[in-house]
Amino acid sequence: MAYKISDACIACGACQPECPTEAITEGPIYVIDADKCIDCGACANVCPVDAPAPK
Amino acid sequence: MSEQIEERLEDLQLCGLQIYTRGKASAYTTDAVLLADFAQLRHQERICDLGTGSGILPLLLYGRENAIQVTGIELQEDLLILARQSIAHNGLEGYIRVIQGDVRDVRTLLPQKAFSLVISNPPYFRDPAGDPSRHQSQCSFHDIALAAAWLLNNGGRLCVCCPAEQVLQMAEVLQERRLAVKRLRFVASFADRAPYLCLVEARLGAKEGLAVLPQLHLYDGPGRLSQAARTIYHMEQEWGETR
Repeated sequence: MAYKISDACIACGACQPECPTEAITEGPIYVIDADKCIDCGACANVCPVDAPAPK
Repeated sequence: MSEQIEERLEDLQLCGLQIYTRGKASAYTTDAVLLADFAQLRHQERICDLGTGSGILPLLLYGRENAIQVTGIELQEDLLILARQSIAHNGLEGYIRVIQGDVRDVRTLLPQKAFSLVISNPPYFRDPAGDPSRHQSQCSFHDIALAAAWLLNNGGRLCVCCPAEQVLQMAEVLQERRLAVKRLRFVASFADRAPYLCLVEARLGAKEGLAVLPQLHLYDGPGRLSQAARTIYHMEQEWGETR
């Protein structure tokens, strides 16, 4: 299990500092490294468009 | 780990204050901004920040009230260096100081009853091998409560945050150290969501009596920061419009 950021992402960057394992990288849309993700949902809590979801 | 990553300054959009950080991500999390807003500040307050990291809470508190004295404790040397750089860059040596040390050794670091406010954005994730700023490998809620009970004068306040589902555990740990929970504010992403975070204020030696504040939600709708969140972020315009 890991969170995945959908194409609803507006690339605002709000999620990136929240991740406790530095699993999120910047891009046209932000991307979560599934190997680093610990499923905590911290990114989803602060996302303004609900883009990260458990996959 | 982070030695090769270049330092940069990030603008706090608050009274011209800037903070040093490393890497591309922001120097601080939403928690820190919400907690700095939640704390009620008095004139000439003596404040201790447990696990100050790169010094975000002292800077945000100074942005709200200039007549304060903040002492930050931080275990990790690389963060301490960043914090000192930020203090010097903003010219705040007379208001904020940071010392290296373990929150668990607070009795050897700072005098008893010397503070009217203790603030902490404690690590609350649970990976023992994870970054100690974020994971409870070096510092637990119990350690925060113990340190606050030592540092606070009678009636002094502790402001902390924790995941919403851990708030009872936090209250219990605080109660054991005579820190009575007096004010709570739950935070959710959207108005119709369950809260994910809780902001907690406890007072040393206080009687029971709890104020639960209206829930804060960060967003009104997709991409739209709520008015309450905009006020906390000191923003005038809608967030989505400028990005």
